[in-house]
Amino acid sequence: MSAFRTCPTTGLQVHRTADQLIKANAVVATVALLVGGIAALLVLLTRWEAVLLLEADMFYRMLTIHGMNMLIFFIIFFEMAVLYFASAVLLNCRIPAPKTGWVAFALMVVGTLMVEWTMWTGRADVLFTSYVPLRAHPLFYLGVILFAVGALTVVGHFFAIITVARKEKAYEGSLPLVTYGALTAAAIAAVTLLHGAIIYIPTFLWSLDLMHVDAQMYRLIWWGLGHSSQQINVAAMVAIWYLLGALTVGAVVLNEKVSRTAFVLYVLFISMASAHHLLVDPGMGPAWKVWNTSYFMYMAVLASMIHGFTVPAGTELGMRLRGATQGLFGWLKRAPWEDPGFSSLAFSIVVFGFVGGITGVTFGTEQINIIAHNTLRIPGHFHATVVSGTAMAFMGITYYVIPLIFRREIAFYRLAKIQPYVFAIGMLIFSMAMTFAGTFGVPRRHWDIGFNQALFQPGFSPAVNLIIGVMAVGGLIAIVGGAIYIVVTVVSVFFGKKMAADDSGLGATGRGLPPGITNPPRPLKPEDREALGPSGRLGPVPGTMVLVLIFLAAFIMYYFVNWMLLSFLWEVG
Amino acid sequence: MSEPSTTSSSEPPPARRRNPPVPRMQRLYDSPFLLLAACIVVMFVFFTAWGVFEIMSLEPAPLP
Repeated sequence: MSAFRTCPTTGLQVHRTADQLIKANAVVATVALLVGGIAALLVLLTRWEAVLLLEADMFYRMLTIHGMNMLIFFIIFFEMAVLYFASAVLLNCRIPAPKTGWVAFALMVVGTLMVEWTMWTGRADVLFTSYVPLRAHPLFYLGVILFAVGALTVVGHFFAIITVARKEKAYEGSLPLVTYGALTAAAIAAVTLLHGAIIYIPTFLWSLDLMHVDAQMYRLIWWGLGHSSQQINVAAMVAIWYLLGALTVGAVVLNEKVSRTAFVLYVLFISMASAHHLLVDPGMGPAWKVWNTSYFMYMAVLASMIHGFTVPAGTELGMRLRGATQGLFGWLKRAPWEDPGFSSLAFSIVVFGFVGGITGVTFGTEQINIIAHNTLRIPGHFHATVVSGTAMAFMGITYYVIPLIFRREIAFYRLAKIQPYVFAIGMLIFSMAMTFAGTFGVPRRHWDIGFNQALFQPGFSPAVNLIIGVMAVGGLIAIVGGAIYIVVTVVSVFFGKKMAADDSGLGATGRGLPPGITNPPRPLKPEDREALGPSGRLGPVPGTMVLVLIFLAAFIMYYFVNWMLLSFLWEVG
Repeated sequence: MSEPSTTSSSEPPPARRRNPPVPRMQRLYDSPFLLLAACIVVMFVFFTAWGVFEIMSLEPAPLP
């Protein structure tokens, strides 16, 4: 059997080892999503004080399981699949060290199992942050170390793949933009995982009583892992945005220089966002805080706003060039909203930008952070970025990975088509309600947000109970959306209808295949640009320009409302 | 009668015309290991090392 297969849909030569590594990482990612999702349901039904399902110890256990599975295992296993896909598959090249790939995968799985065992048996009720001096079983820390070493090996493997691809002339000139985005994610992953190794090795020794670990030092280095790992997500998500845009509607890249510069800004500056978590720590000076969260971080925010413009603008221009020229938003009306890949892309961009982006930048301001820190506003923000943004994009690309890599049709395709809507609506309600609850000062992480047996009463507004109820309803809708995704992917991958080796899916009707495969966007011709005609006052992408202006207005309004809230606390004069 | 040639001897050969020099910034952007090194150095210098220095410079709090 040849080491390569030819994809009948894309014509790409796919190394079979890459195929297998992508499948293995994606399957484990989905299992982690299932485990994290079960914990999410239990946490949610406890957070909803009208239900208060779990006792305190089980709440913290489930919160730990939820955090580790969602923020580390699901996301990073999926990103490993993205790294193999964006390198070996998109570059038409071989995996240079297949055994290394499998050893890395095995290390990650063994590490995951060790962490799962300690968490489920109550030996690591330390939450995702595992702050020292909270102490978990040594195998918890060892498991994380093994996982990090495995993931770091995959990152090294990614760099080896693109180096070999260049030497073997699998590509010439610059890397494709999607691979470039994956390269950005890999670079951020390297710095992230190095921080993980630096902090978890001494913490492992501390758990064996072999050394001392300073709590403030732990927080500093740990957040180099904890927040930067979410920046790997951002880079991988944006790379997938470009890929989904091309696959679903034939989106064009407006300007390669601009998009690549935005990725380079991520490489240089996005990891500094870790400093947001230390903004109220007395140990860190204002110069360090301001430098890292303002001067440097805003360069990464600029990058996100560039991508937030270029992806929808590329989508609009790609569609206008193919004839969707009616009015400002005719291209949106004609967009393939029944394609789960496209709807996932659209929701991912909108919720990530409008909710996650705006809140994140606002909370990252040192003065405002004092009223948002350790309230529900923070999980409200990161559920909009990591879940509604990254996980949504990962779900969208899954609907293309199943037929293109697993060579299966999507099971329950009608359910798959509505899944992004259910998930996005649920998460939007959930994260916005969480943010509002946090505005009233409701703390994050606490089992009992009412402090019923405490010596003091926080005296929240009665509106908080209603907002928490809305949050729970939104969360339940999102969990239904997540469950549909898991059912569809598991049934498709293990029991879905197999596609023949030469079945491209082109022109197929009534099958579990997205429109980007059955009826892909036609290639552009030089005359398409002439047919588009001259641009109006808002340029060649007027619809996106209007959306950008709405975004900026929302951003300015939210930012200044937060300064107003701060002024209520700090009276001047 | 044959057509006159339109290629002057001063023009570069066709192969070179097809491959114009790559701009310096693009060469920088196309260096994966340079990007990796830049990512690690910037983070470790401004976030990690500076942060460690801040913590190490703290005076021990006097006990009550």
